[in-house]
Amino acid sequence: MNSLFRKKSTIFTFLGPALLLYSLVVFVPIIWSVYHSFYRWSGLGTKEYIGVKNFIQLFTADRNFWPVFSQTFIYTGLQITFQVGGGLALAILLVNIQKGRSILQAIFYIPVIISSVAICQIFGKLLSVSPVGIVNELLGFINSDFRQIQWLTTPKLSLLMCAMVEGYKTMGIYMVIFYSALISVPHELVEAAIIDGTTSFQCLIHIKIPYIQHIILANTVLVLNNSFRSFDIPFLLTSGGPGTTSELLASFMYKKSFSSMQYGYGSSIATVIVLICFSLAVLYMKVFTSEENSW
Amino acid sequence: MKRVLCILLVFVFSASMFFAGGAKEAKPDIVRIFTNRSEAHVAYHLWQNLVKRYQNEIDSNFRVEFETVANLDQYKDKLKLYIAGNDLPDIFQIDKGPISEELAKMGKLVDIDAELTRIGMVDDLNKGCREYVEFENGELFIFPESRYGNTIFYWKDKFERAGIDKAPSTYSEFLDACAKLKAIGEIPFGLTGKASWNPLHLMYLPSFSVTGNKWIHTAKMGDTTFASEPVVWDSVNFLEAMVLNKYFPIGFQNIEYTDIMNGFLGGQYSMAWAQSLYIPQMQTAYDEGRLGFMPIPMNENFSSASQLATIAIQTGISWSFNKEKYNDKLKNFFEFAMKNYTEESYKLGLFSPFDAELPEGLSKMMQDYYAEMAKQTVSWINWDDACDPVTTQNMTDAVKELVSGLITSKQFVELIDKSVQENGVSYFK
Repeated sequence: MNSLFRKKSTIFTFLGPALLLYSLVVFVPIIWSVYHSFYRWSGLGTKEYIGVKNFIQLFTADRNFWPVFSQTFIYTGLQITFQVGGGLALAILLVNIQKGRSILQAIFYIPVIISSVAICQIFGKLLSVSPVGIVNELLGFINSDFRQIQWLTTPKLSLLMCAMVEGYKTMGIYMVIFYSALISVPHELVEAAIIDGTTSFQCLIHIKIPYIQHIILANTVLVLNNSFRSFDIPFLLTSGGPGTTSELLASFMYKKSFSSMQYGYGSSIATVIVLICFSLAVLYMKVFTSEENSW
Repeated sequence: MKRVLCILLVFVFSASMFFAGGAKEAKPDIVRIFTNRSEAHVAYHLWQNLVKRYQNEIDSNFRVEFETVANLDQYKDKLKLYIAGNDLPDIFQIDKGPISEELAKMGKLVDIDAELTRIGMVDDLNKGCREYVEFENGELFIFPESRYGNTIFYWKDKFERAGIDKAPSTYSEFLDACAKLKAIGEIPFGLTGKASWNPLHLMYLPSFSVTGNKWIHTAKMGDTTFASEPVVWDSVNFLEAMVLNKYFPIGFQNIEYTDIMNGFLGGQYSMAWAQSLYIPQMQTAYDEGRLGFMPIPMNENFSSASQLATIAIQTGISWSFNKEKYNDKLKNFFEFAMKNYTEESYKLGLFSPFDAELPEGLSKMMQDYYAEMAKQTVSWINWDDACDPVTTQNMTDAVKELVSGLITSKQFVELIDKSVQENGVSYFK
């Protein structure tokens, strides 16, 4: 049996169906989307081939594209802070807690399994200003003007709030990954550091975090990749508003395709998103492979 | 042998992946109704009641599945998805406009005129309701949901406390009234910025009151520009003034319309733009003299012109039937629904789209409102529904930016004209 599974033909035979299914649901739609990006089509009637005009319009004539593009980058940066930074902070907290660790782990992980719709409904009410939500009500005890803070309808705040909500929802996943990484740090290193007189904080900064830096880097690239495709939280919480100040590339693509019925134009935006994510995936492979080689 | 076993194993697993879920059971013939009306909307209950009655009285095997998307913008997005995916529901709601016209041209919609003629009810349809949903060539492929009258409702006690002795009759009086209400700590006007139709409708009023918005039929094709229409500037500047003076609730850009109406009915807002379907919830306060409705203000920049309308007659996003699925079962249901539509409408406090005598026992508010509606000779026209799909979307996006103070009225008009030039001209020609 072992000799059978050592053969490449056997391996490919088992991998084949999954690869076929994956191709059908991932690669084929991508190729189809790229194909449509060279056409003008409203969903009704015939398609009109227009070459690269969709891309030219996107990069040179769409007043919303570059602001949305920069907002997506800002959102991604915020996600790295909240998800990677927040996940790491929670993992460090869990490692240093002895009693109640498993309960806390479960509590921190609960947002991950709650649906995005429910999370957005909850935060929509918490951050509401009319009627006053719990957040503004509590802030109102500090200063009555704080009751009027429009978390979701102020242009500068709405994107930050969407990032925070998505970070809150997802950081549990990275907490689990970082926790596993931190507990895998060899005890001998920690004991040697303690013998040398380091404090636990110094041990964390100089021993544990450097030891898991490849995990941190890998998670950062994953968050980068996922954030570029973020859709649900900004769409449900603020609909990309006010105006387009919390719009991201994915929701921008959705609106162009399905609301404006510009399927070709929307496909060109989808192609741009795919290219960015592909570049990040290549970066991830290069980083991960070079880290493996260096270890 | 091992290789054969291996391949067999892979085949079994692959087959189970593709056919997972067990054997398909034969599904009964279920009618799919796709609607924007949720349980919070009275028209949802109208159709539910019609279906239940049909099941009880005619065909107990008539099975129906309602799919609801309450947010109108999201409903329209999903409908467009169904259209592009060639998966039109059996019965669905759609506005009169380029999309419904295109679907009718493609033979996907049932000819409502023909069907009403078949059952002998074509002449019973109210002219104003028909005008709202019929195409420019007079064809009717959409059935009007109800005879809605939209206007501005207000709390009289708040007006009295603000020193406003009569309902404003012009837009400058209206803005003045809003300033007085704000000065006494009241929120002048309840508006949602989350659904684009609400600010758009408010914006249309200065234009509608003197032109009926009929100029849109040339502007949408680029034959004239929005910027060249004085009523456009009156309209956009009016909405901008409401925004800049902060006459809307704080955070209104993220409040749903149902929450706005709940807020108005609860006395949080002094005025709101509402449909007649809310009359049942307002009639007690109306009878007690605490709540009233005002005629649509007149555009004083056109004082020499006559006011075309004091209430906006419209039928809401109305109903179409998928021709490909329109079998005998649905034909029978259509006939039953039409013949009982008026009765079921009035039971729920809705005005029927068919001309019929008002039933006995209607509330005073319904009678007074109907009397005002009966005087109207023009139907409401939405700028956005008339335009090409891209300009419609650009207009809904731009109005959200306008009410958020992110663009000016000038920029709004420029954006729309640019969109018409880039999209509308080629779309309609």
